[in-house]
Formats: sequence, C-alpha cells, structure tokens
Amino acid sequence: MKRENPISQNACCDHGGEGPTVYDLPVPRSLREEWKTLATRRHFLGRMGKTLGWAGLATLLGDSVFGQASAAESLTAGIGAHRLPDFAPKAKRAIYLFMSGAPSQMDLWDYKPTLVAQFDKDLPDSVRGNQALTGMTSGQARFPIAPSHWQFAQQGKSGRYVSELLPWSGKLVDDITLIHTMQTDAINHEPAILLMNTGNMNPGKPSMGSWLAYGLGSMNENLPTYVVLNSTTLPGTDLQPISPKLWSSGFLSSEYAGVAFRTKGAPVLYLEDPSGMSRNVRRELIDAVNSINQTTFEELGDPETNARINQYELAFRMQTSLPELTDFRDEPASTWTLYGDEARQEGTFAYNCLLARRMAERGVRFTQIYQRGWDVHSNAVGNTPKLTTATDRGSYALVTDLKRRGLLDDTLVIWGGEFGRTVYSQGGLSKENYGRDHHPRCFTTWMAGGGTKEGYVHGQTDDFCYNVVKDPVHVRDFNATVLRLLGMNHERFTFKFQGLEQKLTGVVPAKVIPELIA
Amino acid sequence: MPPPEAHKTLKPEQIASLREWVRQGAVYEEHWSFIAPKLQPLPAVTRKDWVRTPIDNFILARLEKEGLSPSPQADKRSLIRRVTYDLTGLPPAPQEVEVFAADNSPNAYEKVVDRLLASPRYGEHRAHYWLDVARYGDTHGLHIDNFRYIWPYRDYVIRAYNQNKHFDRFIIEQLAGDMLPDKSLDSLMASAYIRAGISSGEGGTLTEELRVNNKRERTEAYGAAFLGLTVGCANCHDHKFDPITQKDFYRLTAFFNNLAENPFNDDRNDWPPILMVPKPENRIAYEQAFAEKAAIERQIQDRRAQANTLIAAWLAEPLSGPRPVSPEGLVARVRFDEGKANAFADSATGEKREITSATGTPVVWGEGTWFWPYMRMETGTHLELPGVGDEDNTKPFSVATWMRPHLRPNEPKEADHPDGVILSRADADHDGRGWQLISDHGKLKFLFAHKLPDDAIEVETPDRVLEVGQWHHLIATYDGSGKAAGVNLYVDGAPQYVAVLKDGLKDTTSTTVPLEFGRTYPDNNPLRQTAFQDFRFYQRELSVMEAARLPYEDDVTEISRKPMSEWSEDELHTVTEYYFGERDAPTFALKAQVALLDKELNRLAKDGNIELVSQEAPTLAYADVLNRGIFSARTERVRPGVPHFLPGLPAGAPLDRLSLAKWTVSRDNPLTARVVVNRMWSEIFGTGLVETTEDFGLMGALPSHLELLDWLAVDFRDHDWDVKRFYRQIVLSATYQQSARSTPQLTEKDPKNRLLARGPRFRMDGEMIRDTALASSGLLVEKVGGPSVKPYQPPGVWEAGSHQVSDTKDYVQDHGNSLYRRSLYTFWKRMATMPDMDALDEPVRDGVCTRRQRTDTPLQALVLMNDPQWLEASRQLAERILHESQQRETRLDDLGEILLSRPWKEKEKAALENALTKFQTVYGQDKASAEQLLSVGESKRDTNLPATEVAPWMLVASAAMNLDEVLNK
Repeated sequence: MKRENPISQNACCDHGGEGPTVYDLPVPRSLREEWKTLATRRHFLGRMGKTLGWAGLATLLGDSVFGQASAAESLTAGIGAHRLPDFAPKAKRAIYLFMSGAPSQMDLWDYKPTLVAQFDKDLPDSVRGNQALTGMTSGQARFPIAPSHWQFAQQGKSGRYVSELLPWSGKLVDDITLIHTMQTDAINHEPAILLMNTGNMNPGKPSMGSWLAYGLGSMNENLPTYVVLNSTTLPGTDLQPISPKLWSSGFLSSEYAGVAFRTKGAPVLYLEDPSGMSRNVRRELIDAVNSINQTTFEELGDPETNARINQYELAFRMQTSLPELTDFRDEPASTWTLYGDEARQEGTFAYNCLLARRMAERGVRFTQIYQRGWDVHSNAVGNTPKLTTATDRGSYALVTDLKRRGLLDDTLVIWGGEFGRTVYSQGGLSKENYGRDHHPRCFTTWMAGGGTKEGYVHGQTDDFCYNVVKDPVHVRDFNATVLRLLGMNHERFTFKFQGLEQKLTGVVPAKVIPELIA
Repeated sequence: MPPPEAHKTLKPEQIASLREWVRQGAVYEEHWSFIAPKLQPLPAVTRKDWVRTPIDNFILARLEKEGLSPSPQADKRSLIRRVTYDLTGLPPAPQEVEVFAADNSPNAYEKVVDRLLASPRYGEHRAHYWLDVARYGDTHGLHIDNFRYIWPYRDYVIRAYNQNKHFDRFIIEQLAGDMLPDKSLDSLMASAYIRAGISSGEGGTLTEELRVNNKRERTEAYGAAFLGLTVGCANCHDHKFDPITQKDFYRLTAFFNNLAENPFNDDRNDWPPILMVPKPENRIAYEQAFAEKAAIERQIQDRRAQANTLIAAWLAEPLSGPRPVSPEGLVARVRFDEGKANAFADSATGEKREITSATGTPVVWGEGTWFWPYMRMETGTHLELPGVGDEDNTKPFSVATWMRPHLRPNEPKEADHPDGVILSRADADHDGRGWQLISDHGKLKFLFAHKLPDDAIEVETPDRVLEVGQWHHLIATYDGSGKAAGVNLYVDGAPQYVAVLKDGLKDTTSTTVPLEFGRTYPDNNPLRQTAFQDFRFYQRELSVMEAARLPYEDDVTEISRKPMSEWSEDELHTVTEYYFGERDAPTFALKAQVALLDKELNRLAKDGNIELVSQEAPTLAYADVLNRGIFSARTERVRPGVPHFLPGLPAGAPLDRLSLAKWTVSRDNPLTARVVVNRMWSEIFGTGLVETTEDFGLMGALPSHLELLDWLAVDFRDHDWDVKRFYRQIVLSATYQQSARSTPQLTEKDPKNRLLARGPRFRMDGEMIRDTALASSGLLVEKVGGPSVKPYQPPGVWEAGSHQVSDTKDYVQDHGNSLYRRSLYTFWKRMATMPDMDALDEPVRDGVCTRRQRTDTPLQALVLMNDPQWLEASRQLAERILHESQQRETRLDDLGEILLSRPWKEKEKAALENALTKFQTVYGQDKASAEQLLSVGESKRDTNLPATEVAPWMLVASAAMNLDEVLNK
C-alpha cells in the first residue's frame, strides 16, 4: 500500500513507474478481471492506480531487464514478443504459517516407527556423513538416537500416520500436500529463516511477500498488500527472534514491505486518532491540509504534492477499513465452533488464523503468521505439546474455513519452519525427555489449496529421519513452486539490482517441483 | 561476459554496430570512473551574468545545450529556509529569517552560510548522513541483537564534521585510526567504523563462518562507501560486469581479516577489542599520555622497519644467534604442515616420510596461520600414531606440541577453558594404563598410570593456563624416576608450578594402544576440533633451557639455516616476531615504557565510556579465496591487495589496513574523491550526479554531468578534502539558489530535476522532519553527543519479535530532556527500528545505505497526524503562538513564520481560518475532549491557557506540520 515517488527515484531500488494501459494485454483473464474491478477506484485515487503490480507484470511480459525509464518500451516489446507466462495463476493469495524455531519433523509428521528399537543407540557415522554440525552439538561426545516420545495414529481416508500431538490438523491429511524432504543450506536460525523468507542467508534481499506485492500488486488499496502477524508466545518455550528483515522489501521499493500488525489494540501503529478527536474533526483537519497542499501544487508544480493529497485520503479511509477488519463481532457462531474460543483472544495463533481468513476475503495478497518457540534444544517433551496445542486447531480451522467458503481454491496455505531437527538428542537423553538440535537435511512442510494436490505426500526420508532418500525439495525449489502457483515464473520474475537479475530463488538454478502442483 | 554455454547471441544490428566500431579503428576506452578525474576546463556559457561559481558554468552550459533557462533566484525567505535545512537539518528561527530579509548588504547570504557552517548543528546534520554510510547502530543487528557500546563513534563523526576534519584524514582514521603513526584518541575512536556493521553471537554458528561473514560485511561496506563498487558480487565468482575478479575481492577482504577479534561477538556489549574513552576531565592528560605512547610505538615500528638488517646482523653473530634444541632422542616429529589431505609425515630424522593418516571426518586445513596455515581436527576425526610414545615408567621421555583448543561460542564462561584429553598413549579400557596430557577445565594435567586410580602419578597446574581460541605450546617431561617429582610441565616454554595429586606409580606403564590426538584410546574424554602443530616426542628429558627454546627458537634456527632471500613471508614473520619479541634490547626498553604508559592510560580511563574499536593482530594478514563464497571452501591463500584494474599500492608498502586507507585517498585512486563529492551533492540536490551513489561500476548510472563531477572531485581533493569549503561552494552557487518552482513543461522534460533548471525540492529525511517538529514547538533539547536516548515509542515494538534473552527486548522509555533530543541521538536497535522513522524511510543500517528511499505512503500520514511526538509538538507550538501574540490573525502568521519562514498566502490562510473556526466550535463546547486532546506527551501544559482555547490551535498547528511544504525543504 505504500506508493513510490516517481520523481525522486531513490535508494536501493528502481521502480516500474508509469506506462500505457494494461487492460487489453493478452494476460490470463482472471488477472485482467481483477484489475478492471480495481480500475474504478484507482481512477478515483488519481495517480495511484498506475502502479498495479505494474513493474512485476512488465517483467513477466518482457525480457525482464528494464529500468524505470524504459518500463513502457519494455512492456511494448513484451507484447510484440508474446513472451507471456505459459500458465495461469492457481492462487491469488497466500497465507504462510511460519513455525519459527523449526519444528521437529519426526515428532509431528514424519513417522519413523523403527526408531523405537534404536533408543539411545549412537547414530551411525555412515548416516551422519560429513554433515556440518552446529556449534551446540559439534563437541558432543555421543549422538544418541531419541525416538519420538509420542504415538502416531492413522488419519483420514488415506490412513497416513500423524502424531497424536496434531489431533486437528492431522485430519487435514486428505486435503494437503505433505513435503517430507525439504532441505536448506543453513544450520542456524538467523541465516536459515532469512533463506526461507528471502532466498538468501544475508540480510538485504526482498522477502517472498514483497516479491508478491511487487509482482501482483494490491487487491484492496484500503488494506496493506502484505501483512505479518506475530502470535502470542508460550511460557517456557525457546524464542528465536523475528525482525523486519524477514518481511523487508530489500532493494524493492519499501512500499512492498510487509506491514506487521500489532497483536493488541489498533492493528497498525498510529492508526487511531488521539482521544478527544472525532472523525469529523479529523476530516476537517485533512481537508485543511489537502486544500493548502492543492495551493502548493498549483504554485510549485511538484507532482509529489498531488501524491501526498492522495495519501492523506487513503490514510483517512484506512482508519475505517482496518478496525472493520479486526472487528470479529460479525463472525457467525460456526466460526467459533471451528476455531475455538482461543480465537477470541487477540494475538493468539488461532486469532491470527481467523484474521488471515478475513484478510483473504478482503483481498490481502500475502499474510504471514509467525509462531515462535519451536527451538527445542532441550525439553522437547515439555515444550512441543505447548506449541502444537497453540497452533494445531487454528491451522486446521483456517484451511477448513477457507475451503467451506470456497476460498481455498485460490488461496495457498503453507505451514513450515526454517529447518528440521536432529534425530539424536542434544544434551542428555532419557526415557522421559530429550532435546533436538538443528537439522538442515530434511524437514516437513505442508501446503494446502491454491492449486496444490490434495492428500499427497512428497518425498521420503531414511529410517533415521536424517537424510532424504527420494525427491528432495530445496528451499529455492519450494519457493519457485510457490511463485509458480501464484502465476510467476521464477526465472523471469526478476528485478535488476547491482547489475544482477535478482530473483527470490537466488543465483543457483531453482526448479519448480511439478509433482506438487495439481 | 556470459559463458559460451549461456548461448547468448548478438542481434544483427548489434553485430553491425560492432563492425562499425571496428571500422572506425576499434578505439577502446576504459569505463569512465576507472580513469582518474582531470580538472576540467569551465565550459563557455552565454548567460555569463548568471554564473556565481564554477559549478554554474557546468550546469548552465548543459541547460543552454538543452534549450532551457535557469529559474529565477529563490526569494530570500525560501532561500534561508533551504540553506538552513541543508547545513543544519533544522528550520531557521523567525528572527533569523527577518534579519536576513532585512539585510541588503551584498554578502548577506554569505554571512548566513558562514554562520550555519560554524553551528554545532552542522556536524549533527552531516553525521546523520554519514552514519547511514557507516552502518552505525546501537545493537549488534543479528539474532539476540544486544546493545553494544559504539555511540562514542557517533560523537566522533559529529566532532569531525564540526572541526572540519578534512575528509582524507576522516577516511584514514576510520579505516586505520588504530594503526596510524600519529594516532590519537580521536583516531582510535574513529576505527570503530570497521566494527560498526552487523555481527552475530548465535550459538550454533561456526567460528570460521562468522569470521568470513564479518570480513565480507566490512569489505562490501568499504566497497560501497569508498569505491562506489559492488565488490560483494565477486564473493562467489568474478564480477559479472565490473573487472573485479573473485581474487580481487578476497585480496580486499584480507585487509579486514587480521583484527584481534573473536569472530563471535558473544552478544557482549563490550565485544573486544575495546577502548575506554576517558571522562572529559581526564581527557587532556589521557591524550598526552596517549601521544607519548604513540611516539614510543613509532620508535618500535621504526626499529622493526629495519628488521632485515638487524636480523641479518644478529644471525651473523655466532654467540648471539638462535640455538636449536638438540635432535638427540627425537623419535617422532609431525609438523602438520602438509597444507592438504589427511596424511602426515614424520620429520624426526630430517627426511620426511609418511607416518600416519587421519581417519573419519577429514581434518580442516588453513583456517588460519600459525607459523604456516594450520590443521584442525574435526569432531569425527581420528588421528593416531601407532608406533610412538610407548614408554615404560623407568624410561625418561618428553612430549611437546603446539595446540589450539577450538573456539566454542556462547557457552557458559566455564567453556572458555577447554576440557578433555590433548594427547595420550593410554588405554582407557584397561585401567588407563599409559600417559595422558589433559586439559582439566583449562588446568594442564599429566596423568601417568599403571592402573588407575591409585597406581599412578598425577600432577596438575593449580591455575587455569589453557584457553579456547589461543595457541599454547605444551611440554611434559619425565625423568624415568617413577616419581611425581620427575614430571615437569611447560606452557609456552615456561616451567609450571604443579600440584602433585597422586604419587603412587609402582608398575609398568607400557601399553599397546596407539598414541592419540585429542582423546584417550578408544574414544574417551575427547577434546574435539583441536588444532595441532609441530608435535614432538623425545626419548629423553628435555632441560629447562631446551624447553624454553622449543616453542620458537628451535624453529627460528631451522629457518635461519636457509639464506634470508629464500625465506617465505611466513618464515620472515616468524623470525621477526621472535627477534623483536625476545632478542632486540632496544625494543625491550621501549616496550617497558609502553607498559608503564598503559598503566597510566588505564588509570586515566577509569570509569570512562566503552567503545568498540579496531586493533590489528600481530599476525600477517591473509584471506582465502572461497569457492562460491562458501566459508569452508578455501581454494587459495592470498595476501591483501587492491583491485587489479586500479592503480596498485605503492611499492614496498606494508600489506595492511593502513596502506589500504592511504591508498583510498591517494591521488591515483580514480574513485574515492568522485564517490565522496557525489554523495555530498546528493544530500543537497536530492540525487547524485551519478544517481547510483553506491555503484560507479559498469552497471551504475552514468553521470548526468561527468565534467562537473570530475571538476568537483579534483577541486575537492586539491583543496585538501575541505568539507565545509565544499558545501559552501555548493550553496553559494546560482544553481542552488534557484527557485524550486516548476512548470508543466519543465516537469515533463526533466521530471527528476537532473538538469537543475530549478532549485532542489524533495521530502526531507525522517530525522529532519521530527527535529522540525521539536524545534518549532520549542521542545528541542540541544546537547551534542552522549549515550543514545529512548524517546516515545509505542509499546510492543521491541518486545514483539526480540530474542527472549536480548537486553534490548524491553523498551524502557526515557523521560525529561531525553525525549526531545535531535533524532540522530535516538537509540538504534537494528532488529526493530523506531516505527515513526521507519515509516519515513530511515534505513535499518544492517548494511551500507548511501541513498535513502523517499516514499510517500498513508502510513506516513498516520505517523505525522497521530504519533504522540508530533501531537505533543503541536500542543507546544500552539501554546507558543498563543503566547507570542494576542490576535488570531497574527497568531496564524506566526505559525507560518515558524514552520515555513514566510507569511501565509491568502488561500492558505483562509483554509486555516476556516479549520480553526470549526475546531473552536467543536472544542469551545467540549472542555472534556479538549482536555483529552491536550493530555498527549509528558511536557507540562501551561494551565493558564484554557484547554478550550489551546485545543483548536493545537489542531491547526498539527495541520500545518502535515503540510507538504513543511515536509519538503
């Protein structure tokens, strides 16, 4: 919802800019329809209408190399060359349930019954291979195997085994795609969570949500295009930090950065007028500002002044549309039956899931919900259930709710963390408890809706849940697939920065995993 | 160049262009910015009367070429407002405006400019730009994101600008202020620049990974700030567009790879190396002592500069030269100098022959240099010597090795001291028979047993003598007596006092298990990941004198058998370190003086402020070329060097940071002066002459006025990099003084005002906007420097995402004056920056930012309308104007004078009048709401003014602060 300033292009970004009308371009019908719906309001808003995911669109059409000055030419060239995406987007929006700290795959989704017999035996060197270990366990004398503390039971028609810790989302097995073979390059949180979100282990690159905001634009100018929700943390869990780096727009214009909602009170900072001020007074004040700005514009002729007039109008409208978004009083009783009463409590994961659904309905492009605390180096047995209790039902309810409202078909839901956890115990292993260190070689992520397969399991890990036996999915391949589901070709969806065709998936070639797409 | 397998082909018209170029003689010229700038002649112009400074010649010539005319001079009120903002970051006071408006002397404007340049506000304003480039922040910026003491560096920057420190010196001090022969407290404080970037203490990360990350961060920052090159692109491969090779990049990183710093910051606020900045009252005495110390260190350096002569003389002197340790009884010597693979040779007999191979996880080579690139065992490495070290209790023997326990980050303090077996020939499965050299939580222990626990000798140093991350030379000797008294332990050549814990050895100690490195056979009490070097086993007891010579002198003797001309750099370094460390009497005397001065300096710095600074390690600087940038994929060791396509370092210059610093500002370097003037230009005009201020490479933007850029660069350099002179020259130009008014035609033709046919106008930085609110309301508290402050922040901003143990998890807001300091003093938590400033495009500073974005968003409008800081300022501003005059009319005028340095225009005033009337209608009837509205902020209200009167004015003031013209300079 931020808007760039077309006059003083600045900073670590170069922008799309303005160009000819796009409505008669040979692009997928659904996208075109979406733009047309928005056109009326955009017209009303003046210049703001011209940047509708415009830059991103042009890269899809053209040679992908274009600077701000040549956006229009590039677009025309694109049309001439008929270089279009060869697929229609499956998903219009996405919701990413991010389990920060990294959940333990073998305690939740990746069933390893044979480990029980291996209790406290050393993980064979042949299995560990030359995997670099973190500084936390590399000095450890033994690597004793810790089978999961929990029972697994068959779920759904497919009869997949899911941990007893997931009584609700276990029921989704016939609706979702489970990827057991996610792989990452990083073995520590900060680089790993950056890699998942931005495709790079160092800060400074745009996040997935920013790429989508840039490429697809807004569906509702009165709400942010990309929203981040942080969930209430749970006592006793080990919290890894999350910071705006993870929803940064990097070298893209900062208008594409995620807007982190507040967990309490007004969702956006400074949204509320001060006490003692009525809406009428606010209106009067903005009218005064805008009328003087109009004079300034006439006097000095700087188009930026005109833009500011629009921003104040938009701010005024957001002051209404955001409270409406977070006012759950219009939810039917069935909502609470589905999400549970915890969803009434601001900031809980379940609350955020419900809020995400409301945003999906209102056209927010990308929502990311963080639940911190999954970093179970010690006391995995004590902390894991706290986290599953907090997240299980909300995840289930969100998918189910989207489905029953007909939104799941074009909403992609993703659940996952930044890496997996080791099968061997960090620190002491007992019958009652264990800890698990970071593990990059395999972990489980699931996707639902948005053109993914229903009831599909992708890839296979070895009996120790340590190595991938079949069908690895690297982070970059996963991200390429997500972009594909949203209608983007990751190879062509680029942005020139520092002379490089930058992309979400980075410089190492990434591939879409076709098996993940319905 | 795209590789052949990319199958990129040329279009026919491109081929035609190339043919044409060849036909014309194929003249190739290097990229413009890689050619040294020359002082350009001033271009001729028609409207000579318009020209005030040489800058105007260049700008006007271009305008005339484009068929454009410059705009008229801005009116005096606009001009003083603009120049006051540009030089101080704050609005002019209404009186200053009036004085200037009334001053008809020809140098009226120059007087204003000189007054502003002399203001301490000038340095504060300049600093906020530089701190973006220097990536300054108050926290480490990654993971736990703890606070760290570096704010004295911020004050150094302010001071440097205010004292008009010339920019070449400013650069040198920041890059190598710790190494300057004439270093001072100030220059040492400046060296914090190197360490200002982000760093990590994340528990699981690996030391080598962080070391590589740190030097990479610093190199990329250097490239962007001083060369205007995206050198980081060559981290993984040769730069795709600029001629920077991967080797160039790593040679550049080598300059930054020799700091005396643990790559882990351990989340410490005082991550060493640090400086204790003395309190102001001790500063003069401190600086005196510091200067004395610097003078002595210069003498030490001077002496060291004659190393080759002095060493040659020493070696030639038969009685004083180095003496070896006799090889008698030496049955095994493994130097671990193979540099690759897992097989190791014994050189006890002089001939090298392979003696063993490591099994399991391969060893790691070359993470650093100790005599030569060293070897470290990995967690899973097994290293043993089957035929060595089996000695019965009746036979004398000595075992010696260099070893370095691996850095283990982020563990309890206890873990600074390694715990496990260093070397052993003992069988843990059979009563521990044999000998073991052990680090017992840092205490050095020797255990020699027939049968544990009692049939054994056990001696141990009472104190902790071993530390992780440090190299130690260890020797254990045994005289064959069967008694604890026959065991001696040496650390770094010095005999250790030991406590005898057991003295009951009775029977044979002989065992068939192999000698093990880093464990006891089979895998007991391991000390994993330890580095070993020059292991020796003697079948005799070494004497005290021999033990003293073993760590260095023996090696020096070996080197000195070759003529000096054949020594490698590493060997020369070893001998030099030894000679000046142990043999050169004049150096000793000087060092003794330094030690005394250090004591004095410590005394004077007591209770001072901590500052992270730079300090060079005594080792040679190296880096490794990393395949694809992967921290462990070392391919080639390189010494420091500047990019090959630029003029090189002077012949014979030491390969260190100081040489880089001097080179950076040398006349030969075509880039730095241009990059610097371009950035200063962009501060004033909103866009650089080269728009991509951070990239002057092939993919960067071309300069809009190349000749002007070169003229400015050469002129700046030739006038000793005089910064105030530079800004003065700009603001005195006719170009700068033009009216900012545009016409539709001009906007159409030059929307970004690159040609400068009108004056600069753009939205100000967040700091300037907040400072304007504080200044205009009278809330601003002016005080230069000091610890960062914590003004108002909405609850939860820090708390929401921080690591649970972070010391910047909870935001504890300050009160009183700290709420109203200039924005550059606001505490900078990089993982959660101030939300108001964030909305106004303040960067995160987790990397270099040489130009901020300038967005315009509804979130900004919400900040300016609803942030309590602006509302409180509106309230105070309202009281101010209510006090200053009594008439509605004049009060409104005052508002304009304060915020815009001018009276309102009729339409503007009408709009404000209208709003005021409406607000008065609302609040005149509603005292409760008025009181609520006025309750914002901690500053006191003037209760003599009725709330119903102040509230409407507060909203008018708020409206005024939101005006486009107020937000633009």
